[in-house]
Amino acid sequence: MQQDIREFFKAEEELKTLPENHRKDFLDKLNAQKDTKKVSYLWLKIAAVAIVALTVGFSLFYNQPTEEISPMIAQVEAVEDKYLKEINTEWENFIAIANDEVLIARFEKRLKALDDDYQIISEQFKNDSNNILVVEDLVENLQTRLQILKDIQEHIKILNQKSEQNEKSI
Amino acid sequence: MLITSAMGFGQVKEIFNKSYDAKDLKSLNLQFNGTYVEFSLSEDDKVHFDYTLEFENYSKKEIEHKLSEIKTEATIKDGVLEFKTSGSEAKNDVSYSLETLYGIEFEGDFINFKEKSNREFRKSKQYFLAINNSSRGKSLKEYLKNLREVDKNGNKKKINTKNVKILRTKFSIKLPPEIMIRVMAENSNLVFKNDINNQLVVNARTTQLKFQSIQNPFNILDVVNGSFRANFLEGGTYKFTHVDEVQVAQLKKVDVDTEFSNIKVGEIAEKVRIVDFNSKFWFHNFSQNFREFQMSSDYSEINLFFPEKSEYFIETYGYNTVHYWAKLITEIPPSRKKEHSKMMVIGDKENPNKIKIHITNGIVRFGEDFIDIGK
Amino acid sequence: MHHQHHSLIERCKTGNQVAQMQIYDLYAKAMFTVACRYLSNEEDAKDAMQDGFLKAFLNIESYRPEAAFGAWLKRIIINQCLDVLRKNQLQFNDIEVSELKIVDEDDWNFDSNLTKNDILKAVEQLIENHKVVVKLYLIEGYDHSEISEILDIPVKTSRTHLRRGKLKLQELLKPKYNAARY
Repeated sequence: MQQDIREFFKAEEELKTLPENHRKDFLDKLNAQKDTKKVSYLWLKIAAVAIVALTVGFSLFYNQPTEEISPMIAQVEAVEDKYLKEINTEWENFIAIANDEVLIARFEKRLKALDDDYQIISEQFKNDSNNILVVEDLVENLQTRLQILKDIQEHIKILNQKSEQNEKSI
Repeated sequence: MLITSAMGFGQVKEIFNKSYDAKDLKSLNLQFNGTYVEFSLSEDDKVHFDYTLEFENYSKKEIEHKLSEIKTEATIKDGVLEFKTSGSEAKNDVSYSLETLYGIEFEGDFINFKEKSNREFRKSKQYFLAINNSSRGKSLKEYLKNLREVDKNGNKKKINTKNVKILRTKFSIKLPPEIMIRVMAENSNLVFKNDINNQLVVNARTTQLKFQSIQNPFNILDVVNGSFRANFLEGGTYKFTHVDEVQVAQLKKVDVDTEFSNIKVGEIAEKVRIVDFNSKFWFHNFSQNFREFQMSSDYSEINLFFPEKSEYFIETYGYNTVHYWAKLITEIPPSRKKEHSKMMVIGDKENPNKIKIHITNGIVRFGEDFIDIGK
Repeated sequence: MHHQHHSLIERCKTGNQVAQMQIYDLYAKAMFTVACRYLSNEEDAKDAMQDGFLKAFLNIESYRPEAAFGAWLKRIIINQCLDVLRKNQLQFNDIEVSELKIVDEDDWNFDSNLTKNDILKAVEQLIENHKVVVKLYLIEGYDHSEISEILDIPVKTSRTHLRRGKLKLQELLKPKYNAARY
C-alpha cells in the first residue's frame, strides 16, 4: 500500500518551544536596531507590483464597464508622482555629495535619456491604458532612475569613508 | 521554454514562411521590433523563415486584430536580404493574457522582497554555462498560483485556466554558416540556439539576447538596455550600455565598452580589454594562460576572485579607489591634480599572467573563495 | 487571522515597538519551528528567527495587506536560515549539467507504514544540497521556480537536486521492514 508523503506536511505542525529569555533577547535586539532604521524604497516597487501583479509574459486587460476614470490611470499617476518626488530628492542628495563635474554631467545625460524614453512610454500608456506591459515599462523606468541615483551615492559614500591606512604590497 | 499543454487545441496562423538560397546573398539585414525569435543553424545553405502564431482561447475577432497588427516584409536588393517585422509585442515564446471584468489581485508572499546575501561565492565557468542553458520560465500553473480574480462583489476566486488566452510564438530563422548577419532589434527577445561563427553586427535596444558561442574577429555588438547572456565570446567589440544583466561564461580576445551595466564573467581568457564607466563587475575565474587582462574604468565596482589556474600579478593604477581584501581595506585618496599613481600591487611583476586595472573613483574587492559586500 | 493583524501591522510601520513585540509574540513560535527545520542548533535557529523578524520590521513597508503576513514572514526567515547555511559552505556551484529526463516528478508515493518521523529522519541524512531543496519542496510546499529564486540556482538544478534527494529517500526508506531486527 502506498501513500503520498507530501500529505504529511500539509497539516499544521506542532510548534517547538523557544529557549528561555528569548523574548528579552529579542527586545534587546529590537532596541539596538531602533537607531539604524534605513529608509526603504522597496515600498515603491511593491506598490507598483500590486498594480501590475505579474511577471514577464503575462499581459492583462482590465475591462472597465463604466465611464469612470480607469483606476489604473489614477493608480499609475499616484505611483508616478511618488517616484518623481523621490527621484528629485535623490538627485539633490547626489549633487550635494558629488564634487566630480564629469560624473554629474554623465549622470545628467543618463537621466535625460531615461526621461526621453519615459515620454515615449507615457504616450503609449495614454493610447493603451489597460496594457499592463506598458505600465510595467513605466514603472521600470522610474525604478531605474531611482536605483542608479541611490547606487552612485552609495558608491561615493564608500569612497569617502575613513579607513585604516594599511597599504600593503605582497 | 516549457510546453505546458499539448498543441492542437489552438488556432495556428502562419505569418511568414519562406526560404532563400544563400548563394545569391551577400548578407542578411534583419530588423525586429517587439518579436520573439529563435535562430538556429541551417543545414542546406538556405535561409529559412518560419513564423507562426498559435492562439488558444482567443476569439476570431481577437485573432484577426492581432494578425492585423503584425507587419512582416522581406526584400532582396544588391544581394542583401532585408527582413523586417514588428507588431507582435510577444516578448516570450509563450505569453498569457487574461481579461477580467473587475480586475485581478496578487496573492502571494511577494517573492520580490529578498535581501541579497552579503556573501558571494566564487562560481565556476561551468555554473555560467548551466545558467545560460536553463530558463526560469514559469508554467501557467505557477503563474496562476498567486493570482486571483475579483468578482463584482469584491470576492476573490481562483482563475480558471480556460479563461486564459495563450499565445505561442513559433518564429524560427535558420541561418547558413558563412553569410554576414546584421541585426537591429528593439523590444524583442532573440535566442540563438547554436554557436555562431558568422560575422555578426548587432544593434539591440531593450532586447533580451541569448547566445551560445559567438566567434568572429569582426563582430560588433551594441546593446542598450535589456539583457545579454552567452557562453563563449571570442573576437570582436562589444558595447553594453545600461544592461542590467550581462552574463558570459568566457571572454576571449574581445574589446568591451561598458556603461552603467552589471557584468558577470565566468572566466577571462587571453586578450580581454574592458573600458568602463560606473558598471559593476564580477570576475570569477581566469584561464590558465590569460596573459594580460586590461581594464580602464571610472566609478566602477570591480569584484575579482584571484586566478586559481596560474600564478599572477595584479596591479591597480589610478586614484580615489577603495580596495578590499579579506579584512584589509586600503583607500587611495583622491588626487587634486588627477594624477594616476600605482595603488596596489599583488604578486611578482615578472609573472607572465598580468591583471592591469586602471581605475579612478572605484571600488575593488578581491577574494579567494568568497567576497563580502556591504557593511 | 488576517484582519486582526492589519492594524497591528500598520502600527509596526510607524516603528511602534509595542506593536512589534505583539507581532513577535504572535508568530515567534511558528517561525522558530520553521527555522529549526533548517538549522539543527536551536540557538542558531532562534537567532536566525529573530534576525528575520528584525529584517521584516526594517522592510515592513514592503508588506502588502493582500498577502498572507505569515507566508511573507516565513519567506524572510527561511532566507535568513539559508544565509547561515551558506556561511557554513552550503553552495550550489558545482553543477553537473544533467540531461533532463522526463521523470514523473509528481510521484511521491512511499510505503504507507512509514510515519512522518521516518520521513523527517531520512531527510536529515541527505547531503546538504539535496536536503535543502527537498525541505523547501516537501515541507514548505514551494515549487521549482520559487526554489530557484530562494536559492539563486537554475530551475534545472532545483529539479536535479529534488530528484536525487527523492531517490536517496526511497533508498533510505526501503529497509523499513527490517527495522525490527536492529
